[in-house]
Amino acid sequence: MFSAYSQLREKGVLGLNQRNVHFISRYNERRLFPLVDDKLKTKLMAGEAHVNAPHLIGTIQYQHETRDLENLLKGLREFVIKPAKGSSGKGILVIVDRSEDEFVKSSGAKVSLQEIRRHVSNILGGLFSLAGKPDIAILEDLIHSDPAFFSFSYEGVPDIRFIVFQGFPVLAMMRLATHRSDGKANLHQGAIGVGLDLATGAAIGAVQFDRPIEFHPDTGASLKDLRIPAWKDMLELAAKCYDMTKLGYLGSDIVLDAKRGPLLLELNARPGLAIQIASQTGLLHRLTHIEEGKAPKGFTAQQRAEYALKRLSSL
Amino acid sequence: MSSSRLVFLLIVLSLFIGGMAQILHRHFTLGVPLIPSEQRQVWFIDANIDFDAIKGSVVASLALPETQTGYTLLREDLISPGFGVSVISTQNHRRAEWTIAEARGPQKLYYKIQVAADNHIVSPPAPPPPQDAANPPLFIDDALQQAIDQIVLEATKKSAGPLSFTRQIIKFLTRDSPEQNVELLRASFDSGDLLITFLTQGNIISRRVYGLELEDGRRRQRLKDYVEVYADEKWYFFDPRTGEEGKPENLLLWGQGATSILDVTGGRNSKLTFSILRQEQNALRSVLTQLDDLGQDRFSIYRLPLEDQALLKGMFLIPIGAIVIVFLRVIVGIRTSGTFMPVLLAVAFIQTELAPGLISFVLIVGTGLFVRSYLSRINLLLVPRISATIIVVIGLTILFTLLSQQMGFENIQNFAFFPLIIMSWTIERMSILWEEEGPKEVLIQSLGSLAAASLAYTLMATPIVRHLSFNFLGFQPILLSFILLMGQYTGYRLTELRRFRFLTGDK
Repeated sequence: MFSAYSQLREKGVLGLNQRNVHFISRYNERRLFPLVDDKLKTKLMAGEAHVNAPHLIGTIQYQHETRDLENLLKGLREFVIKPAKGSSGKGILVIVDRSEDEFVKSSGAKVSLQEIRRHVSNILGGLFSLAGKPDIAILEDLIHSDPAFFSFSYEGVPDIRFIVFQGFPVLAMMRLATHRSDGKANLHQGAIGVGLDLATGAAIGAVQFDRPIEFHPDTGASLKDLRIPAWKDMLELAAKCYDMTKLGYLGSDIVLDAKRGPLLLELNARPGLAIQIASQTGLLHRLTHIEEGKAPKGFTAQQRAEYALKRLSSL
Repeated sequence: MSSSRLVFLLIVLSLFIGGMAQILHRHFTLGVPLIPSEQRQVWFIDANIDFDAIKGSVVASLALPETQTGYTLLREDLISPGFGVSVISTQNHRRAEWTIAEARGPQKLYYKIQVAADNHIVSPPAPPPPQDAANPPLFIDDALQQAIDQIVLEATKKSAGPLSFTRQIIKFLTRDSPEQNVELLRASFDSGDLLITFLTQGNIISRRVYGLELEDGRRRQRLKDYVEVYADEKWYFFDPRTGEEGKPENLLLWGQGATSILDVTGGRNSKLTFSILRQEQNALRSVLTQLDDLGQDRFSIYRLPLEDQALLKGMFLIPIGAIVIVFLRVIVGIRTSGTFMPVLLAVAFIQTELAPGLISFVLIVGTGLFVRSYLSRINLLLVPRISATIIVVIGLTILFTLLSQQMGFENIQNFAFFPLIIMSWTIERMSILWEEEGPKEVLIQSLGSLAAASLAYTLMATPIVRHLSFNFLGFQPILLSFILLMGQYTGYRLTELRRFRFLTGDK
């Protein structure tokens, strides 16, 4: 037991207690949390900061607005409706096609306008939000996953989670939806985490339920072949999220859209630790490197991304 | 180390030391036992005064014992049919006085006390002797006086101070084959009087004290007299019959500072006898009674009405549950449903006992979950949904209570001890967890919660823990200091050693 403990220390693995006491409560000001806990606020903030994100089509805040839903959806072939304060990917409705009054979900199932209206009403009632608080429904553009990922994900769009410490991306992992995870990119629901090399964007290792895995259980693709295109742009976008939020210890979730390139999906002020298992790398060495002031100060997001690519990746 | 960290450690340390000091103070100076089952000896002593009243008014006056090193007076009662009673404090001792205007024939008066042995309360240092405390001289004829002078002279030569002088005198007086003069003195006077006469001749301050040998089950015991010699600002104790020094442990001094023990005016043939009984008593109860009598324990919860005591006792146990939760979550890393739900569950277990409590809780929550799964299908808003769950829980509580009564179980009120709101929220949380994370997570968290509750209950039901938290307020700051310390623990949780095992190459 004690040897396991000191081995983890040696590997620089960050534990939950240390994450909470040392990083989240020290670098993330409480008053900033609402900025990331509410996806609508994050989106508006991203617009101001020129951080690319899926286009906001509209919002629905009051129950009576659901009657006008038909007008709002007029002319939209594909779109996403999601709760602003939802957690773990709950309440997200993805429509990929439409024929008059019939809408086709990403799973292929068809839903009527009436059903969409009820879904929106449930969102507003707080069915999917934390502690059941009343919520706002967000209507936004559908993301078209980059073709590079076709063989790696089942149903859902894969996203890339970056841990960003004081503006420096320090660790990255791609999250792939599986049948087990019900198309959601949430690790504890059974999504696969593929650790990525900070220098190249190539896969290091992969885990499902905290255990190493080699092949995607649904598509059979060899996970170590995964390689992220436009890697440097992605790092830069992740680094920009710090300037936007001022959260010192941040999880940035970024997707790669086939047409628009890297887009910010959402932010997390309490990012999980499984990313260390996926990338076979402890967070602490890189975090302390920055904390002890060894990384340069006053860099732009681009310079920080560069630094992560060249210097942090080898720590 | 940063200064804020230093301040933090100082706060933790002072909480710990403060709590410890309070516990030690209560234990060592007030005598509150650290272990609940600790026993202490309590002596029940009855002093019986018998005398024949000559026709007319009677005053009987008895010197009384005081709390002294090794013995503490717990309570005293004066019993005396028809007599007026009062306790009078004189300059250096207390006396009980019985008075009656008209009495005739044999009379009986009682003075009963309870004295605790093995006590920590130390008697105050004896006051220096009053200047006029001269011992009454004995009537001694010239020939004997000459013999006395000679012995005093010889003892003075052989001694270096009051104590060695006393030892020499006692040696003369207790010799097996004494000189003729000494033999005569011994025959005419009692040994205590005689010793004091010699000591007075040698200009040594001394006084007579009386003591009662405590022996279980003795009756018709009498006081014995002893002599105390004043030297180096202290009184030294001597047994004039044997020359033994120092007060024997089983001796209770009686009427220290009094020249006479029993005075009866208007009576004759007065007699003072004692009967003695020993009992083992719960130390806690007798100490508390004593502290209460002395008015020394103003902050004891035992001074409150019983109902309030029960409330406070329940409250005092909650920090124990809290520290268990902190430990399990921060050090071990167990997941529970609702942070402090297990503590409230443990409090309920105290009423129901562990096994019946666990069974009842699982029954109600399990059935509740079943009903709740229907509620979630009809899409209710949160508050109405929980309200509905509360009513369902009430219904289930009544149902199970009636069922268990039908089946002849004894503890049928078990189901009613669980806080309704806690049960409803537990059902709500479990049900959401089931939908979001699946049954496995529900199982993990419910097992975690039940294990935490059982552990908290086990600690909260341990007699020594209960005893410490009820009787020593200092226990709480000590718990707080540990909780604060654990609050800054940034090491790995035990469960993380397993979670991250694939990172260390340890497959």
